[in-house]
Amino acid sequence: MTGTQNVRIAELTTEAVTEWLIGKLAQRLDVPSTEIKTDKYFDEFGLDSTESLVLAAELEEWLGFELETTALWYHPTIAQLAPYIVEQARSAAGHTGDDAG
Amino acid sequence: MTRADTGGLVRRLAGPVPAVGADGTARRVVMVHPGAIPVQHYSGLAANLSPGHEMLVVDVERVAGYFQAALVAGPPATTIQEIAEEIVAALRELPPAPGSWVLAGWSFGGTLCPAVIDLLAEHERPGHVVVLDALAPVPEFTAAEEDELDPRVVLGWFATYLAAKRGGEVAVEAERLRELPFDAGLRAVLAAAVAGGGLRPDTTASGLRKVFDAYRNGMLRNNRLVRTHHSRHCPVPLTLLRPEHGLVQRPGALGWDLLTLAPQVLRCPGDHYTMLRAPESTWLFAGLVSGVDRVRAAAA
Repeated sequence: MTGTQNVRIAELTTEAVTEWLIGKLAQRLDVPSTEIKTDKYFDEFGLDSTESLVLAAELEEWLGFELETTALWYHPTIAQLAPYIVEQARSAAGHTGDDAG
Repeated sequence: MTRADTGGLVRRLAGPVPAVGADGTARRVVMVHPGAIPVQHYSGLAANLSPGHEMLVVDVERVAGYFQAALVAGPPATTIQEIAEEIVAALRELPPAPGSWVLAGWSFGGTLCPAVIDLLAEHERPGHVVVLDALAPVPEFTAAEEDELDPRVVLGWFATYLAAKRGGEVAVEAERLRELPFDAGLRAVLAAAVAGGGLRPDTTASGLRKVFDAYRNGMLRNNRLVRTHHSRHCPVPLTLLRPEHGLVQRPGALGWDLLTLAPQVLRCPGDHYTMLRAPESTWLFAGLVSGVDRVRAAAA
């Protein structure tokens, strides 16, 4: 894990991940961010599996580490996915303790 | 990416043709769908059936073990037998349909058909099986473990899949993709898909790689499922409909002659995906379904 990734993970909060996901979905769907509901299932946004996987790849690039392929399937809303990502990031970096978000 | 409540395994495809015949009943066509593309891709087949027919689609991706097996590495946690048992259980919950019925399956959905028939009592069996560009579940048409689906070969299939799934055109030749290093081939597919309008211009190669890996993992899953399955003779007459540019270019009956007596092999234009929507395929399929009715009527 590089120094840059460690800094990113230290800054990673549920709010930051949520904001990133909302922004990306709003961009994909060409709608205001305020229209992206965090408790809405990803497939209800009209994203097919292709777009979802492309989005997952972009998320991994932003995070600096790979997510399990099943992550988006077992955490199918922004509200469920964001804290899971923070938890995975801290596990990957060897952090312990509660989520700061 | 799916909701917690995935709905039922079987759904009826609505079409403009009245599903109920003059006698107030509907003959049934059950299509086994292995996933990868939306169920709506069968709408053309359903819409061109003769009046008095209804198409029900079995969405195998709603079988949890099958869906999950494409997401995790290693041997599938389910078997073809278990998948077929779920399908048969769902079919037995349907209201009885009059007369003979047709069991159909596209791609791996067709591969599953013999296992479904094997679980049905003789009086429950369909009058005919129609498989669309499907490989028989026999070792001769299953990749050996040591050469699991060369990514450069799969890349050509993936390009046609993208065109079908996303719309537009992906103008890249499979033969050229097999000659390129994989990463170069993937970038060629990406460029073609963007140029054809199927993918956003800002789609990254790593993003498309993730889509490709999921696609190939699905094929690996299907291959592993067949390798652990022992197929038995299929006692129901079977027709194989092969597109001009199917997944496999080997001549003949794609192994179905090893499972059933004298399978009928018909050809149609298109590729593995476009065959579901091509006019020639839809009327061939409708004719096959109607043919079962005519034979049964003549024998009555």
